[in-house]
Amino acid sequence: MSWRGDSNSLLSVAKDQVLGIPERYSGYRMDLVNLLVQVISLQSTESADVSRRREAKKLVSAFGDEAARKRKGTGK
Amino acid sequence: VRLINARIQNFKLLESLEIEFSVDPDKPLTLIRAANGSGKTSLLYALRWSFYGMEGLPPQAADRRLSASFSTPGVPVEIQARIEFEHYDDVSRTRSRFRLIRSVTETPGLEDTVDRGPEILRLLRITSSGEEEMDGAQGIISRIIPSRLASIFFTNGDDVQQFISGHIESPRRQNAVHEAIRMLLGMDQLEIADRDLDKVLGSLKREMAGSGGGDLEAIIDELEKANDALDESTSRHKLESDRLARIDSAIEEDEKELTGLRGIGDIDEINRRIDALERDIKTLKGQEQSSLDGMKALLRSEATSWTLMAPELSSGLRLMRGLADRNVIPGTSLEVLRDRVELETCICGESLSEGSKALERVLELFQEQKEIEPVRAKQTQTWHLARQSHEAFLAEVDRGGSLQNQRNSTLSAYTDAVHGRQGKESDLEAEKARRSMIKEERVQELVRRIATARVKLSECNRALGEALRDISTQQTTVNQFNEEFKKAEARSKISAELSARRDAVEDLREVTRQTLTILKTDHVARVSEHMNRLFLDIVGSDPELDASVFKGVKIESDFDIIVQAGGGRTLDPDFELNGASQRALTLAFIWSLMAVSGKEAPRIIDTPLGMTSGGVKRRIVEMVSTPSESHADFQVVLLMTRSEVRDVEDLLDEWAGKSITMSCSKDYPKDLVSDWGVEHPVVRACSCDHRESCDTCRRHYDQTRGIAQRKA
Repeated sequence: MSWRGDSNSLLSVAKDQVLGIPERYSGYRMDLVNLLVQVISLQSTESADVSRRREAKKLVSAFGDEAARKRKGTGK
Repeated sequence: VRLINARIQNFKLLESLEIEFSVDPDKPLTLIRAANGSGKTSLLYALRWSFYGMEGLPPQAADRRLSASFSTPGVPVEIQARIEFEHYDDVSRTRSRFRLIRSVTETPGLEDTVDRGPEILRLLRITSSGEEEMDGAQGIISRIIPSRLASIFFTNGDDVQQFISGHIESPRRQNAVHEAIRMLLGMDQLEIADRDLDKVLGSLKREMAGSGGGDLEAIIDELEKANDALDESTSRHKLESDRLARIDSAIEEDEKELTGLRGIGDIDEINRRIDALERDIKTLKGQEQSSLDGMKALLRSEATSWTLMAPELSSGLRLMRGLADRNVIPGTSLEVLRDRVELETCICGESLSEGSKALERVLELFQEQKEIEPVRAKQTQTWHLARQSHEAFLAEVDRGGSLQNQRNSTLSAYTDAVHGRQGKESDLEAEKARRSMIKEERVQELVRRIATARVKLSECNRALGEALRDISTQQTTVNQFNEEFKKAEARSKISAELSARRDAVEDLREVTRQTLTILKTDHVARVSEHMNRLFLDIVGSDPELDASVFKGVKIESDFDIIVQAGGGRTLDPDFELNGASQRALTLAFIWSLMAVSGKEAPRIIDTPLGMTSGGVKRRIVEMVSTPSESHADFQVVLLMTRSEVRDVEDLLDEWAGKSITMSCSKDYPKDLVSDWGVEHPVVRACSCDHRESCDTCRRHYDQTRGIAQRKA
């Protein structure tokens, strides 16, 4: 199945909900939504729980490290 | 997913069938026209089989052959489906083309048995440089087009009520609705993501404890223990839920079979009826014999003679009365004459002395009387009997007991008895036939199995309750340790990177959970509202008008779809909703789900317009053909009969991007015009659209219905 537009999809809801999260640096919320898409999409390629979670941790860690770097830049 | 083409080989009567699906976004409809028995359902099943294997077919199909029933025993037949489709990837936002090939070899045995080999499934990604074989083909297909949603994507119009029918057990129906909503709105994906993020967070916290030391390590140990316990309870809950679903499903299957067997009748009740019928038949046979005896007696009766020979007997009676009047009968008694001779005096007083003339005359008379006495005695006896008999007959007639009446009454009793007996004998035969159909042992086995399954169901429910209680307690413990962890973390020195990673996971989990909550509440409501609008539009009902039958439809909080009528009443979908409205409601639900979820997959519907006509029929075609928003992947495949096509030809002109017609050789010569010269029934396709016919598909009535002839 494919996403058809964003107006009615899970993504559009997620984009609304991310507004409740602090904008830890400029663009943090949008990056977070993209990270969610990547985490969900792991389900299409990694069916085993252990490997999928390992990949999820790699994604999140890379994201966190980048966020830390950007946060240092903004002082948040 | 968007279907490009399909090639089916040796699936039932589909010996070799090729279909091109419409990929034109402005004409998203593919029309497959076929008369009844011309392969529509076989094609639907072939497509389901190609994606899901035997799992995609009805349970009873597992024991049946996929190849044609006339296949030669002992000769292997390869059944194959090749589907080419496109898939749009959500993340990479790229479109890929795949070729799916599923095949199996069947060797038919005698008496409709079949030896089926293993299924082979291949999934090839088609790229500009060639074809790339994909590993884990079934897993990829299941993610792209989940089998649990097969009834959404591949719908049989005659069996569309699974989401609404009151005949289907309510939890099963609600589960079907819930499952469809969950899958299409992506709730299951979010739930998996949420569990994954939980694990990642746990792992990060362990790293933080390792770097922070002190209290953090002790707390994380406790937190992990609490999380492990929570995981165990959650797994237990899932296991029990799955077990419950399996038991529930097994009970439903058994109950279905049992209902079928019991539909024939209860064996004890049938035996009781047979006994009663046999008793009745015996009684009626007795009545029949008694009527026959009565009829025989009637035929032998004097009344019958008096009626049938009235002129002759009356004339005889008159003659005898004449004889009596003239004192011919009764005749003079020989005893009297003998006495007179002995007394030597006649009755008249004359002397009967020896040698007298009078004595001579009396002796002559005596001799004469002696000669005629037997005849006269008989005449006298006859006269008396006849007179009494006639008087009795007349008295009977006066009482209304004419021969005709008696005959009618006896005959009526006889025919009543005969007809009654024949009816009872026919009933007896039917009951005995019914009794022979009941496999009593199977009934008993099913009853035992259902009872056992119900006990297991009850155990399962108890275990589920316990798991839920444990989850609740353990969640509280986990929350407490999380709080403690936060406090300890504040006291320790954790690197900015680790903190940022932890923040990211927690933020992401928060978004996931909030999104799930919104989908579960707001989006289900949106599906419900959308479905309501579509349904009312199709059936042409305005809820504001008092006269309207339908006030609306909605999805309840327990995922039951209900139909509302005036006065706050709800309608039973089976008995108070006609076939067209049932179809409209189910299609409205499926279309709303697709529209709100924003997900797209081909919708293949067999016999979508059965039982519909007029405005409803047209509005259904308009609804299923019209994409709700963006329509890049919108695709509908309708498998329709010529009757369904009638009156919507103009809409098909507008929306159908591809059309084919399927015909079956078995329809020659009754319906098909041309003889294909084949030995066995076979289904063939031609490229005729809904306004055409050719040598392959032309039917006798086509010309009268304005279907144009086309050269093949």
